[in-house]
Amino acid sequence: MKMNRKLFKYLDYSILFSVIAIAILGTISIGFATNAISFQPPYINLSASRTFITQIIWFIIASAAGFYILIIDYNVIGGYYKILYVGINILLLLVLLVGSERNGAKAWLGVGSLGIQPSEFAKIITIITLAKIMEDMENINTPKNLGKIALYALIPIGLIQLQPDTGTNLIFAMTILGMLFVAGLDLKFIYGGLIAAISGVLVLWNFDILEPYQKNRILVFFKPELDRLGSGYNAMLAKMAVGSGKFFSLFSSSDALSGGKFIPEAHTDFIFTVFAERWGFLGSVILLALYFNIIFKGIKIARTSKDKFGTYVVFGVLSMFTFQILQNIGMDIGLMPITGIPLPFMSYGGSSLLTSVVSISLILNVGMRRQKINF
Amino acid sequence: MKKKFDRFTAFLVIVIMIFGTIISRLVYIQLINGDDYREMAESMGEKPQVEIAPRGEILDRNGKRLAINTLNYVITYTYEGNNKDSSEINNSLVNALEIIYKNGDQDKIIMDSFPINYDASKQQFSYNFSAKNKYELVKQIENFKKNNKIETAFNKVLNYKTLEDFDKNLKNSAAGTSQDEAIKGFEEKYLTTFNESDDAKEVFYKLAEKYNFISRDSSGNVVYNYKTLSENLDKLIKAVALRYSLKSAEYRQYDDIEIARNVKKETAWSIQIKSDELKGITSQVVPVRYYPYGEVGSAFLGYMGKISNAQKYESLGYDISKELVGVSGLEYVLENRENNNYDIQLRGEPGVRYVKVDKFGKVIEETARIEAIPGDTVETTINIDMQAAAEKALDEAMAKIRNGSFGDKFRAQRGAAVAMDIHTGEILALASRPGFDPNYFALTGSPQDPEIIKKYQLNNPEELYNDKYDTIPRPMFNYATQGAVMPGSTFKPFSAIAGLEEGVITKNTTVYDDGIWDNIPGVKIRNWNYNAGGMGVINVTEALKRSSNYFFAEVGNRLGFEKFSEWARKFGLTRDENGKRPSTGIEITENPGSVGTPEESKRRAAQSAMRSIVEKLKEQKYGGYTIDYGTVYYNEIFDMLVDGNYDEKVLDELGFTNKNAKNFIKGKVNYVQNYSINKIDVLNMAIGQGYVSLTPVQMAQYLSTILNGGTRYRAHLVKRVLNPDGTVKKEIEPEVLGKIDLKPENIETVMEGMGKVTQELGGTARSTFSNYPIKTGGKTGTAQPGVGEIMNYRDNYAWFISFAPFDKPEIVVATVIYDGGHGGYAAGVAREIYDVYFKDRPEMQDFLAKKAQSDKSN
Repeated sequence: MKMNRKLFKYLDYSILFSVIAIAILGTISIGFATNAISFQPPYINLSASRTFITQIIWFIIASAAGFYILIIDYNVIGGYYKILYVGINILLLLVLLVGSERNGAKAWLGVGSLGIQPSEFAKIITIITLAKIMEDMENINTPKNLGKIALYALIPIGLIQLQPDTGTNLIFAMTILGMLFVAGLDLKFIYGGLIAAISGVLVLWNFDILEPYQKNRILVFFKPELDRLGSGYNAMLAKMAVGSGKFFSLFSSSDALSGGKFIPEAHTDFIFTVFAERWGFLGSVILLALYFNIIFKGIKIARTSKDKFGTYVVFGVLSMFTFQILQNIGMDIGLMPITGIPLPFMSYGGSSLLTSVVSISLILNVGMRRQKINF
Repeated sequence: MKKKFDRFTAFLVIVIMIFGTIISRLVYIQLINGDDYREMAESMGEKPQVEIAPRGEILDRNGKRLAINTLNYVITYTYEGNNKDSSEINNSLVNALEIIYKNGDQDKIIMDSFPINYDASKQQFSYNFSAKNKYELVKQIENFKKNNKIETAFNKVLNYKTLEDFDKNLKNSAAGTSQDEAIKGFEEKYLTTFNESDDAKEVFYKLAEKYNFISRDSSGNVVYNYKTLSENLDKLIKAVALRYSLKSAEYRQYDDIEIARNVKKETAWSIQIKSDELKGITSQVVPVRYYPYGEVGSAFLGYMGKISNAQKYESLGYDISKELVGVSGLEYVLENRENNNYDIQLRGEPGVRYVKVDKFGKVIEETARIEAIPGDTVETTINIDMQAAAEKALDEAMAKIRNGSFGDKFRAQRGAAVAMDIHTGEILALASRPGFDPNYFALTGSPQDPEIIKKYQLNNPEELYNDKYDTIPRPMFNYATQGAVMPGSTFKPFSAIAGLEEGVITKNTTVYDDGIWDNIPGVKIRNWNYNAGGMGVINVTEALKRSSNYFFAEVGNRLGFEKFSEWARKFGLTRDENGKRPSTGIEITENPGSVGTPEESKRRAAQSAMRSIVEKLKEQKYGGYTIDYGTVYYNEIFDMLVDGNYDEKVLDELGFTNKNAKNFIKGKVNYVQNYSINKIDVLNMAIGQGYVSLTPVQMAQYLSTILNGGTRYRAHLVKRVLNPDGTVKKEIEPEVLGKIDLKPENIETVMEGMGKVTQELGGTARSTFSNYPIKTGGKTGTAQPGVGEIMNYRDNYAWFISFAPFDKPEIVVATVIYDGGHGGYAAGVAREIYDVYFKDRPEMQDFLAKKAQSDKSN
C-alpha cells in the first residue's frame, strides 16, 4: 500500500489535539477515581493503579490502530464492509452464546481487562456498512431502500438487545437517525418516526417489554425523589459530585463522592462526575469545548468530503459522539436517565476507547482525502 | 446540494443546542447551587460522630454531689438508610407505640413540637400557641394549617388570603389605638364563630388522615388503618404528633430524632429486640443531668436548657440539635470557657469519631478518633445542709407570716437568704424562694408537665413583663442575686460605721429622738413607731437596737450627701462614673442594686425641673416656646440646671427673651442647686429608704466587710476545680475587691449595737435569739415599697441581717422576705441556718437535742 506523505498536510490537527487532550484528562480522572493518584500522600498508589495503567496501555494500542487506519484510504476500508459486517454479527452472536456477564448484561467476550465488548465495535462497523449501502442509493426515501437500511441496522440491534444492552442500542438509533437525516431523509418520515417512537414507548410501557429495573430508572429519572436511596440515589450522587465541583475545585475538592466508594463505576460510566468534581465548571466548559471542536471540524470535513460515503461515515460518527456526550454527561446532571453509555475518550474501557479512536481516525481519514476544490 | 447544506447546518444547530443545554445546566448545578451540593457531598463520605463528654459534676464544700450525670434510655428515629415511605414509618411508629404503652412509658413521648393538645377530662382539643389576643392566636393557627395544607370548616368564614391581606395592611399601619380597633373589627367580622376546640379537632383528624393513620369511609366515618390505634384516642394523638415531629425534622437525614426520653429499661430492651418490626427506630443510652437534691440549691445551680444562641454555641463546636447547655446559675457560667473567666468548663471537650459510611449510612470503618475529655468537676463553697435549712426555713417563715402565726397576716410568697463566710467571701448558702427543680429541665431542656410549666411561669412571659409592681412570684428568678430592693433599717449599720468613721458621731454621742426628724423645713422623717412618741435620749448602739430613724436621719444629715456617698463607694455600693452598676463579683448572673449619689439626685431634680420648664414656657405669658427634647434649646437649659450656672446671655442667644421665662428658668436653676431635695434623699438613704436598693448578696458582703475589719472579698461560689480522679486541679483563692480602713473600736460599736438587737430586752429580734446558745448580732429592716406597689397590695420587705458568733464573727446571713410585713419575722431563717453551721459546737448540743425532740413530737 502506498502512503502519500503529502496527505498529512490535510490532517486536521485541531481534532487530533482535542482527542489527545480529552484522553489525557480522562486518564487522569480514571487515576483519581481509582485512587491510583491523589493529592494526598502517597501521591501515586501503585497497588491501586491496575485500571489506570491498563487504560494507558489501551490508549497506546488504540493510537496504533488509529494511525494504521489513517494511512489506508477509507474507501478501501469501505470495500471490506461485507466481511466486517458479517464478522461483527458473528461476534455478537458468540457473545450471546459464550460471553461473560457483567452488571446484568451479557456483553463481553474474554475475561478481565482483556475482555472485549463487540457491541462497541458493532457501532462503527454498522456506520461503515450503512454509509456504504446508502452511497449506492439515488434516493433513500423509497420503501425499498429504507427497508434495506432497516434490515442491515436491525440485525446487530436485535443481537445487542438480546444481551440486553438498551443503552448501546439507543446510540445505534440516534447514530442511524443522524446519518439518514444528512442523507436527506424525508421530513415526513422523521415526523412519522416521532409518532411511532411515542406510541412505541407507550406500548413498551404497558406491555411489560421493559425490564422492571428499566421502568424504574425512567420513573426515577422523571421524579428522583421517588427513591433517593434506590435508583435515584446514583442520579442524586452524580449531581452532588458535579455540583460540588463549583467553579474550580482541583485543590479544594472534598474528594468525598467520586473518589470514595459512593459513586459506582466512577471510572467508566460516571467518569464525568470525577472530572467535574475536581475541575469544576471551568474544566467542564473546556472539556465541552474540546468535544465541540471535534464535532464542528467534523461537520466541515463531512461537507468537503469527496464522496457521499465519506460524508455519511463522518456523520454517523458525529451523531454517535454527540448522543454519547449528551447521554453520558446528561445523566450526571439530571438531563437524562441513568444508562451505561461511555463518554468518548474519557471512560475506562479498551473496546470503547478503541472504537472511539478508530471512529475519529475515520473522520480524519475522510478529511485528509477530501476534494481539493471547495464548492 | 442546497438541501444537503441545510441538513449540515441543521445538524450543527442541534449540536449547539445540546451543548448549550448542558452548559446552562452546569451553570445551574455548579455555579448557582454548587455550595449546597458541596455541603451535601461533605456530609457524606467521612461522617464525624460527636460523642458528648461526661459533664463535670458540681459538689458542695464537703464533697456532696449536687449535680451529676445519670444514664437515660431514649428512643430515637433515624431517616438515613430507611425508606421514607409513609406506611413503613407508620408501621414502625405504631409498633413502637405499642411497646411504649405496654411498659407504661406513654408520658415519656416527646410531644413538644406538636401544637395541638387534647384534654381528656374535658374531651376537648386545643392549640397550644400563646397569643395576646384572639387575632394573634388565629394567625398562628392558620399559619400552621397553611404549612400543613389543611383547611377546616372555619376557612369558609375566613380564608388564608383574607387574613394575610389584613395582616399586611396591619403591619403597614402605625401601631396604636387604630391598630387595636382594626383588630377588634376583624375579630368581630370573622372570629365570632371561631371555635378553637372544634377547629383543633378537625385539624387533628385531617392530619391523621393525611398521615394515613385513619381514612374515611363513604359516609365519612373514621376508619382506623391500624387496629391498635382505634383502642384509644391518646395513642392516635401520640402517633400523629410523632409523625408530625418526624416530618418537621425530615431535613436531618443523619440525625437521630428523639421520640421518647427517660423510658424504662424494659422499653428500651423491647425496642432493641424487635428492631425488625421497627425500621428506623432504636433505643440509645444518653447521659442526663441529675440533681439529687431536687429543688435545693437550684438558685445557684441553675438548670440545663435548649441552646437559644445557636450562632455562639455552634462556633464553639456544639451540636445544637441535640446538646443541652446550662442556661442559668453555675450550669450556665461554668458551661464553657467562653462563659467565665475562671478557665472552667463543665462541658469538657467532646470526642469525635470519624467514620466512613456506606450509601445506606452504615458505618464501614472508623478512620480516626479523638477521645472526649470529661468536664471539670467543681467543688462549690456551698454547704448543702445549710442550703437546705435556708430554703426550708424561708418556706416555713413565709407560711407562718401568711397564716398569721406572728400576729399580722401578709402575703409573703417569696424571699431569699444568703450565708457568707466573712473572712473569705465564700457563700455557704444562697436560697431563693419559690425555687424550681432543675430535674424537670434536664431531660429535654424544658418541663413537659403543663402543671409545672404553669407553676414555673414559663408560659406567660408577657404577663411577667407587664407585672410592673412585681406581684407575681417567679420560681425561675433569683431573688438572692437579682432582687435588689430597699434594705430599710438593715442599712443602718452602714450609716453607723460611716458616721463613726467620719467622726460626726462617736460611740457616746447622744441625740434626743422625739419620733419625727424635721430639722429641715418641709422634711419629716418618722420613726416606725412614732405614734408611741420618741425614743428619747439615745446613742448609736441604742439606735441600732431600737431601730431609730430619727437618730440615723441625724447621722445622714451630719454626714451630708457627699460623704455618705463616698462611704457607699468604698463599700462598692454605688454606680461608677459610667453608670455601671456595682458588683459583688459572684460568678452567677447578678442584677445588683446601688446606693444613690448626689450626681444622680441632682440629675433627677434637673430632669423634673426641665419637665416643668418645658410645660411652663408653652404658656403665652412665658413666651409660648416649644422646646423639643434633644434640641440645642433643651440641652442648653438642661446643662444650666445641672451645672447651676444661670446665664442670661445664653438664653438671649437662644431666643428666650421673655422675662417671665427667664425668671422661671432662673428659679429652677436655684431650686436644683439649693433645694433640700438632695438632703432629703440622703436622709432617707441613711435609714435604707429611697434611692437605695440592694440584693441579699450585696447586704451579706457589706456586713462582712465591716465585721472583718474592712476587707471587701469577692462573693464566690466556686472553691476548687477537681480532676476526674478527685485530685485538686485548681484552688480558687479569696479575692480582695477593696480595702477600707476601719477603726476597731468603731467596728466594735456597730457590733455592740447589733448585739443588742438580738440579745437585749427591747431589741427588735430578741424574741428569736433570746435562748440561743451562741451569741449573735443582727439588724431587722422593714422597708416600705413604693406607692404603686402598695396600691397593688404589696407589703413591706422584711429584712434581717446578722452575724455569729457575736464575739468572734465567722459568718453573716442576709435574709429578705417580700411582703413579709416586719423584719423581725425573717430572723428565724438566720437562726435555722446557724443551727446547721454550729451543729458540732459543744454549746449547741443540748439545744439541738431539744429541738430534735420537739420536731419529733410535732
